[in-house]
Amino acid sequence: MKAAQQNQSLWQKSVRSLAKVGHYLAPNLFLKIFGLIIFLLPALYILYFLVFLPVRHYPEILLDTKDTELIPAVTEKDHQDPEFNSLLQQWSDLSLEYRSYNSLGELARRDSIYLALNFKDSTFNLMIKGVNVRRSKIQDFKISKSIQQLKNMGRLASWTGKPFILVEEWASVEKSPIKVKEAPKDTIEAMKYMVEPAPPPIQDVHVSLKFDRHLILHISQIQLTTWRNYTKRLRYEWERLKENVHETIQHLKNRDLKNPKMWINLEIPRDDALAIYRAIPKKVGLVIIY
Amino acid sequence: MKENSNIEQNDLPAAQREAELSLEPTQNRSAAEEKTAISSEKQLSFLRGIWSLFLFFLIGVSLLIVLALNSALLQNGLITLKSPFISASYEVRSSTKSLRQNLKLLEQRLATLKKRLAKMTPLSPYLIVDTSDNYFFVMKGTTLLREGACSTGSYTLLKTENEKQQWIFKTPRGMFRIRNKVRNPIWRMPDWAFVEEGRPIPPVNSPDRFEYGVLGDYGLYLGDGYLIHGTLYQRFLGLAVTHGCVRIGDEDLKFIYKNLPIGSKVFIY
Repeated sequence: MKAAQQNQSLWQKSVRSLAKVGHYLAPNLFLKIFGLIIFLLPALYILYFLVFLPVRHYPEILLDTKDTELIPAVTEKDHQDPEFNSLLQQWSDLSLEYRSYNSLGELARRDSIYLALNFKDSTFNLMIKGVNVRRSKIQDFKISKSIQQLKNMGRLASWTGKPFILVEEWASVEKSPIKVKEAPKDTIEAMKYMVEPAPPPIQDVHVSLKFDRHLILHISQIQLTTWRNYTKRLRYEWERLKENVHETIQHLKNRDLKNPKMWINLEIPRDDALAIYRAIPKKVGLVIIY
Repeated sequence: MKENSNIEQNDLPAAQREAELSLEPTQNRSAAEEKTAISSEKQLSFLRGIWSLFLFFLIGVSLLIVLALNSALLQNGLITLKSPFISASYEVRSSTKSLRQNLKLLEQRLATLKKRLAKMTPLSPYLIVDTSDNYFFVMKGTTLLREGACSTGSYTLLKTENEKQQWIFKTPRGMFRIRNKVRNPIWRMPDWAFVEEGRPIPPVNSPDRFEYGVLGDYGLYLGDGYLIHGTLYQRFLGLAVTHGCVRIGDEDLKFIYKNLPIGSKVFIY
């Protein structure tokens, strides 16, 4: 018997242990079924409203403007005129680019400081009145499938056609590193306060910018997080978590189906990330050139 | 018969008789004990039921939180990309000829738009100040003419006793123009300069308010009391130590003074 037990695989042993636990927790069938319902019901509720429904209703969302007709990228005319499809694709890409540059012009006329995310030349730019004052080369990026899906559905132009406006932001660094100084009572006290200024400490930069039309932009430095700044990083992650939970609860309460998560993750050098984050105003505009 | 049973009982050994007598209270005790045992078993199973429900609820809530936090990733995983569609009007795509014409028109419009945007970059020299890295660039169009370290606002919040007055020392951001240029600028000290040094604040037109030589050889005025000027503390260039103005080294300042006329743009971020 002992030998038989020793020969049992790890999987079999785990299943037996789980069965024992299950039997201990719910010795009778009724309790087992009831427990399973309690166990799965909240998870199913979330899965349905937060995951399945937004994905299913996805093509119907985010259409502010009346779009023209949607046609397949490869059409029947392809057989009659092979040039037709490539011209159509060119027209679509140019049309998208035109709308983005139009938005840039609008922001340049309207706002002082704004952002331009250019995927064509992989740069993240800080602009002031039409002048590119800081250009950061994007080292790595990830885009959610929902944005790619918008492009495939022919809806990307209507989503990116207007500038995005910042709604909320979180970061692992202070926006304005304010130091409070009490006015000295006399010159002797003032002499005591005179300290040789030191260079600023190295800070790890991780920023999340939440825009309207469900876009979230996560900016991370390419350098590894230093051990000294781990608590600040954790605090930033905690803020992101809290916002995520808050948003989830709101959407579950409102049963808001028009909420596919559109996110873009960027990795740029630390100095660029810090400079750009500290420069942007509260309701900064963003243009995406896809 | 009864008499006989009595006689029979009296005949049994004493120990046996004692044993028989002791059996009767034991049987009565076990019935009571059984009752207690049954009720305590019922209580135990009830408590186990409550405990198991609580555990299931806890596991459910944990799963709920994990799913909620990862709903973005789950959505991303579930999306299957559809075949590409293009948004276009019938007139555009009605024929290859009309599509070619519309494409050409769109190219022209895009080129015009890009030219218009490019014109927003000044062709005459302009200055860019980076308050984060404390660095400046003198540009002409997209050509870099000069760069170097500078000092910008320290983000110090100076507060008087009881917070009656307070000042924040930061360099403003945005686009500015050079309004005026002077040589050997004189610093007219504001109230905070005295408060910071623990000195009493003199009257508005007092000669104690004017300091000579602290702003370097040149000053370029941006408006609202902000200047680009020199400094006695060259070793602090590259650090955020000023009260809002932009401090630049002597040689760099001379270059900027000579090459940026009044009206030149200054971009500070």
